[in-house]
Amino acid sequence: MLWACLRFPLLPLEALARSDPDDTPLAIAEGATRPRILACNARAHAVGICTGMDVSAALALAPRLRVHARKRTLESRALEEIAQWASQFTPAPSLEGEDSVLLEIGGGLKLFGGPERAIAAIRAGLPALGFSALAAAAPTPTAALMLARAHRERMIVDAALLRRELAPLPIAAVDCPEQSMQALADIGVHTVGALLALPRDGLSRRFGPGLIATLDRALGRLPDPRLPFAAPEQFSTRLELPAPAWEVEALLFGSRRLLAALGGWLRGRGLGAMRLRLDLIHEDGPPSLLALNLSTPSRDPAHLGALLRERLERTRLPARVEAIVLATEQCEPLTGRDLSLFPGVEAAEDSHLIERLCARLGDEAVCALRPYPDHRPELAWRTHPPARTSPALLPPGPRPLWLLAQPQRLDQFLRGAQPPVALIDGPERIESGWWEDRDVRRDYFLARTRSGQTLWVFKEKSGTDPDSWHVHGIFA
Amino acid sequence: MSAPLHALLEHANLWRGEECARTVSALASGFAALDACLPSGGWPQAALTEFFLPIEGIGEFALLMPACAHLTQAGRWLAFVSPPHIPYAPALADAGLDLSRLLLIQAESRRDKLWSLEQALKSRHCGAAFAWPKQLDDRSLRRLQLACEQGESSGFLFMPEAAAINPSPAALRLRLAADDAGGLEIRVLKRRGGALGQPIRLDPRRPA
Repeated sequence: MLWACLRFPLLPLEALARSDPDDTPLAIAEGATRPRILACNARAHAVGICTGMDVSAALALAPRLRVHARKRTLESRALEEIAQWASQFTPAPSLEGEDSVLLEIGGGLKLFGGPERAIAAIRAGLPALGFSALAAAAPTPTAALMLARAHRERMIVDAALLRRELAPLPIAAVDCPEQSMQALADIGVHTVGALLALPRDGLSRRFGPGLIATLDRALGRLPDPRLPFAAPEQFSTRLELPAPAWEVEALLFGSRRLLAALGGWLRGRGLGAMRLRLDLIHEDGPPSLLALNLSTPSRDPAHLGALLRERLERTRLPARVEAIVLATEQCEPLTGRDLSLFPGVEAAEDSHLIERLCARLGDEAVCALRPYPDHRPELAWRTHPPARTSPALLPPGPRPLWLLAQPQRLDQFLRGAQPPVALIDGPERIESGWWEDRDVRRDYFLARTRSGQTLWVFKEKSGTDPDSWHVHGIFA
Repeated sequence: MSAPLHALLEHANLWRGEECARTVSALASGFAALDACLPSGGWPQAALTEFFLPIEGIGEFALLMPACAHLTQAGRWLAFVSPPHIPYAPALADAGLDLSRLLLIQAESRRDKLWSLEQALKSRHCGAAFAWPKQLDDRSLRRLQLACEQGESSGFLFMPEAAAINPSPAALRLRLAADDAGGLEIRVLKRRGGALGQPIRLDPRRPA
């Protein structure tokens, strides 16, 4: 077993600031009567704001500082999003406390190529989600948690070394009540090593059995089961924007965070998205809905982001957006980890072009054609979705490359400007469709005009205007 | 050949017209008479080709059918960007095209049409893209030419005769006209590797 602990010390800030593309001073405050700064971004830090400062003092330092109240719901939602994303590394991520996620990565070490690479892969993915983490790993979850709480980004692989490695950690790394911590400090116990050296029964009597149990779990003497985070069957996450926006770039910036999380969730399940739904929540009024339909499943955040950009640029929003909800509506199995290594990439890129076109022009603007078995020329073809094979049907006679959407009267087509046309082939009688309303009875000819055009013309044999001449196609 | 001349010909800085013409890879047109006159022996690949027509329906599209059939059978896509009429599926199938490789794109605005054409040309899976603009400015043409180079695809533009006076970066510019016998008269306005005086006459519906 190898447990990785991801601890997010800046979670109160990042839960909100990660969807904010512009780099202005931003701080999170907590406290009802005298709010104090809990966390602030680098820009705020640069103008002298630090944690623990009064909000009024901070605002005096930087009048343009944006201060938001801490929202614990946002933090727990962010932590759940991270757990969903992390399901690509472990079948059972679990949430720990207010700011940590535990991942059992021991089972997947072979897949990732060793513990160092696994941790590196996890760390490499987090910036795209907009979080910064302290990552530590140890054979027991409690030990991993202790390392992360002590800000030690270490990795202990061998369980026999646990005791030696944990000994230098400060006792603040141990999860125990504040007054126990104070009492331990009073008797001169400052490190975990010193704590472990104390007699067990005495510790148990003074500080209760909880402390001993925590230490035993950390050293692997007691079982330490964790409750896995139960991810919902469909991915659905909400992202709050720190300031309402309707600029495409700002919306795209936030959406990319969600797409990165979605990518991890899909990879963990071996799926690709076929239909995505993006709800843009406005301050008032119903949300704007964007649907993304893909022709082949995909979980590539860059590709999905490019599609979304086209769609966003085409959409007129009625008001500013204050939150974005991304949800999957339909997913399909997508196997293979590195598609670029396999020949399958060709098919995937074909559909990238089609999806890009559809995203900008609309789904109905892009189609393929196929012949259809009907004798009536206007019904002898159909549109259908691109990239599907159709049976080859060869026509019985010469057919023009252009078909007019509606047959036009010959005199109107020529606009009276040209002398009569010469018939060079025909007739071909087409008579069909008596069983439905669109009855057709025509003699088709190839005709050449003086200016050199070859036309597909017919002489009407029935209907309201018999013996009239019409143009139906052009031999382009 | 004398030694000094030979040495001169070997020189890297010497530019030779025929070599330049051969650098453009080509797509056989299916018409021997035409291939003989086109630099590198076919439609330019990774470049733009412009056709100037007095009127539609003189066999201008039939001229491209053998090359289109070849491209689709090789698995590459064809994109028709906002064609003036319905490309008739039975006739296309009859010309030997694999219709599963065909993409019909209906864009409304001029900007969307250009964008779609550029996207199609840029995609390496599209072998050729066709468009029917009334006129294109130099900047758009350059963008399209660049897209062709990027995607190694052939762009074919069908334009009215009047547009032929504008300069263009296209690799090949042809003026088409119907001749009295029902065939096609092709004048090469521009090609890489020197001008051609004589027009080419052929029957676009009978590849040979």
